[in-house]
Amino acid sequence: MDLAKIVRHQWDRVAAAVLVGIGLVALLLGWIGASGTSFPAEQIPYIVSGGLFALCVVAIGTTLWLSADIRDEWCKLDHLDTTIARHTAALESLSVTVIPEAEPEPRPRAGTGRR
Amino acid sequence: MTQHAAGRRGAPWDRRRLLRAVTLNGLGLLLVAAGWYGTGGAGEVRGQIAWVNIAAAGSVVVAVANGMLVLAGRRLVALRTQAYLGAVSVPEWPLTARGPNSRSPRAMSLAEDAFVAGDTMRWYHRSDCLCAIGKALAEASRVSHERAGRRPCRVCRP
Repeated sequence: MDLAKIVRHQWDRVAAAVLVGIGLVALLLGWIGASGTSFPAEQIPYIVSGGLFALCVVAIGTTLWLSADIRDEWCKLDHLDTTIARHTAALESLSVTVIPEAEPEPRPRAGTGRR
Repeated sequence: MTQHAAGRRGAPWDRRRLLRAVTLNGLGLLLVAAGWYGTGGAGEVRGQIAWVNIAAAGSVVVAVANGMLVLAGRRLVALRTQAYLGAVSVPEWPLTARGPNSRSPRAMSLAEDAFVAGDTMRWYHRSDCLCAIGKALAEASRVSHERAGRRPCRVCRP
């Protein structure tokens, strides 16, 4: 399977991996930036951008991955729905065509039976 | 069985729920960006605290929005799965051959007084436990089973 096909079919997982990667890079850059200065007033912007922003991006990426799993389960249930509906329709058509409703036999009238 | 009404085909969430999650994520990221911008502009720590709080609130908003989305999806999938499995009866605890509330008074008194186990067994059971049925087991009291080093069965919970 080529890359374009993977991206098209698994776009949410690819996006999740990219976002988690971006988050980890932001975390690393924030750490490098904060460790480069000894002034708290200069470290705090790195904590916000490298820490909190990275946390948000990783959270969004994780949600995308989990939602991809949930969508997969939902699609399996859809498939189950379709299969059940198809088999139900097949069974109903079988019962209509193969087993026609039997006509009741005429009951003998009273007094005309064998002696 | 019909298509579940809660979501579109291929995803359990409806459009409104997705829109809310996207909006809250955007709002959270906006708050984080505002916090970042604010902390960068303030020269002192005292002036940055409020902006850090704003950014922290933004990250909490993002976390809550995503958590709600995932939990809603799990719940909708579970509800739909339950709809398929609704006909399958699940026995209640404790698991016994006759069910939890169907013991005769005699069986209940036996179950309260005597439990069964084999000589080489590590667990002792109620006499009607699924793990004990069909086995040649000896009855004894709880104390004597525990003196012999046996523990109560985890299925029937004597």
